[in-house]
Amino acid sequence: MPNAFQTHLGEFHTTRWSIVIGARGQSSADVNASVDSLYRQYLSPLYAYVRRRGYSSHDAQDLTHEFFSRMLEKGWLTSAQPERGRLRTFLLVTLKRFLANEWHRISAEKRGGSSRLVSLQSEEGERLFLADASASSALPDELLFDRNWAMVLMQSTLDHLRHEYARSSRPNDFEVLKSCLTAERGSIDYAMIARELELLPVSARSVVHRFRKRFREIFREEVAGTVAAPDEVDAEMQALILTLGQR
Amino acid sequence: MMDTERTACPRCGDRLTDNLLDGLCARCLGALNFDTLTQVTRVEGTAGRDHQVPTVEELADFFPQLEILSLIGRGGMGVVYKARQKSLHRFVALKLLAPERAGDPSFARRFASEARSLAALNHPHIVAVHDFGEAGGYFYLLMEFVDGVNLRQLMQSRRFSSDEALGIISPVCDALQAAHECGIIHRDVKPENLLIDRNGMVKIADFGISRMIHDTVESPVFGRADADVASQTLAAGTPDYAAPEQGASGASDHRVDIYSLGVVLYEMITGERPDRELIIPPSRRTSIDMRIDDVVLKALQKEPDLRFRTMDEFRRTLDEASGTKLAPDVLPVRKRRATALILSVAVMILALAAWLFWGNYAGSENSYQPQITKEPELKFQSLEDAYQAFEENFTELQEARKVRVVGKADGSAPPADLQKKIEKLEARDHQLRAAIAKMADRTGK
Repeated sequence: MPNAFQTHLGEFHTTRWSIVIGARGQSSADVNASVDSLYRQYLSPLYAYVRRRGYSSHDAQDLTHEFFSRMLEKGWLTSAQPERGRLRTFLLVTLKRFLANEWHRISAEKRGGSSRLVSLQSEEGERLFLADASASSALPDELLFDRNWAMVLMQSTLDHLRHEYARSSRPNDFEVLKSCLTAERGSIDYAMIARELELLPVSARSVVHRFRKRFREIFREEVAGTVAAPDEVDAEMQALILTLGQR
Repeated sequence: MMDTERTACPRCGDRLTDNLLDGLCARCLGALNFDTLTQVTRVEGTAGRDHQVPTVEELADFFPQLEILSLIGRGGMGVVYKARQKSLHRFVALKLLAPERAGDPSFARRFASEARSLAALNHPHIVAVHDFGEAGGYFYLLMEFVDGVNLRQLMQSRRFSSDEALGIISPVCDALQAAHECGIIHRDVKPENLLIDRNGMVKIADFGISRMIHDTVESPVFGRADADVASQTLAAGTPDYAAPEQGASGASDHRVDIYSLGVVLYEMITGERPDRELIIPPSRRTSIDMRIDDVVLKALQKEPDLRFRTMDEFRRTLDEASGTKLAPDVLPVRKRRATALILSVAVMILALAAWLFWGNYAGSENSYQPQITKEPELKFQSLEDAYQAFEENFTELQEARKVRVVGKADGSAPPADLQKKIEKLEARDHQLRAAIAKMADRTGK
């Protein structure tokens, strides 16, 4: 997946949904920046959903782009109430309403050429759509959306973690340790890891442990950036993990 | 690693083409890392004291310049090994620490600057730092090897008279004063960190390391330090010896060392640490001069402003309370006294060594294994002569040791036979001590 989540500063930016919905006091520049990073991060699951609704890839690109513009223009985000809950559900509900409306037809004439940015993310969205298509079609579109959302967050987590290690004094650790994330606890070859990473054998365990822990922490932060209140994080994490298990 | 030709995940059977994140199966990523949704802070093998340590053989690959000999201590701070530097043929102590910080560049920088300021300290009563670095997943310090025991071990076998306590506390004050003047605060003064070698020389270990290791400043790269490590002790310092202001994250200055040393002194004299709320004056717990009470209680003041302002002040006040005068005309007497104190400590070590040797000891923190050999006897006309000879030899020995560590004052290289010279002086030192002890016994001191 392309690295879709860097702001122009090159730093990682976890969108704080809670900040956005509490944005009445924020400058519009800040709100726009938040919407912008929301767009970059979550465009692909939204695009994939639109595609599943039957639109061509070209139309889907335009529609999702239009959807975000409309959100900004109409202030749908900033006027969101805290009860809106999670960003994931809010975006999907809002998108569905948008698609059901006349609006996108009216703006068809006004549609200009797609920006380069749109096509970059929609490549990813297209990949998700094709994956969904080859998966069991018995799953409702909404669930597929949720699963894609979870994938996006997971990928973002991996990218963030890779970035952290790249800046550490042990940049080679990441590629070797990555495989531990999908290895059963008992089957991790610590001796091999110690050799590959030039560690004392006893260090291997704690290095792996820290890697996994950091992975969990970052994912948690990513999820926390999409809920309105801290006490919702656990439930959202649980829901997303479950979607990954859906076949 | 991952076979890209594979179409199904070996673990869960999911089709991999649709479900890959960075080459990993998305389903397994979810299933294997979030089995409990609370943040998992423990995993088998890394819980608290069960943490395994590298074996001597494993270390050899990472420290080719050293001959690793044995594990000599393990504590909350790190693991210590006895080793020999191949090039210089001298014993050193290799301390491994902070495995949870491996790869953290900001910690590496802080560690380097801390190690450098320690290396610059260069005091006879402070364990010298020779080198530092990062290897095999640990940060390490290469330090002076102290052939002796720590104060905890000494305390386990006896209580101390005020003279004996002075013999140990006084040089510690000098050393801490020197460090404070360089802007270095120890922050973890406790009996385990006060080492006494076979000659009765006191050396302070683990300067400044405590704060650095347990600094819970969030690293931008690696997030917060592992909660397990930080929870072993307070923000810095071991709870019983830490000054009240050390627990808070606020500023604490060199006076925390004064407090900690006060606790150590109290414990040396009375056999127990003071109760933090209501301190029973030492004179009520044991037969000791009441003037000592004032000194100890002042050091133990909760409010830093009410304690001694400096280590020097602490030491001077303690000296006076013990009846030692510093008038110039009695300086030789004081020096004699200091020597006697060193000797008495050395005798304690010998007694302790015998006890340790006969296997009564179970491995404790920072324990060192002393090796004592028997020497032939020397004869002197008088005790006076014996003291004279001892002092001359001792001075020469100290000087030689210093040269071995920091080189000659004029910058030229140490002589090739320095080690042999030191060994000779050490042997003579033993003989002189034995002779004096014997003569002192006979004359009733």
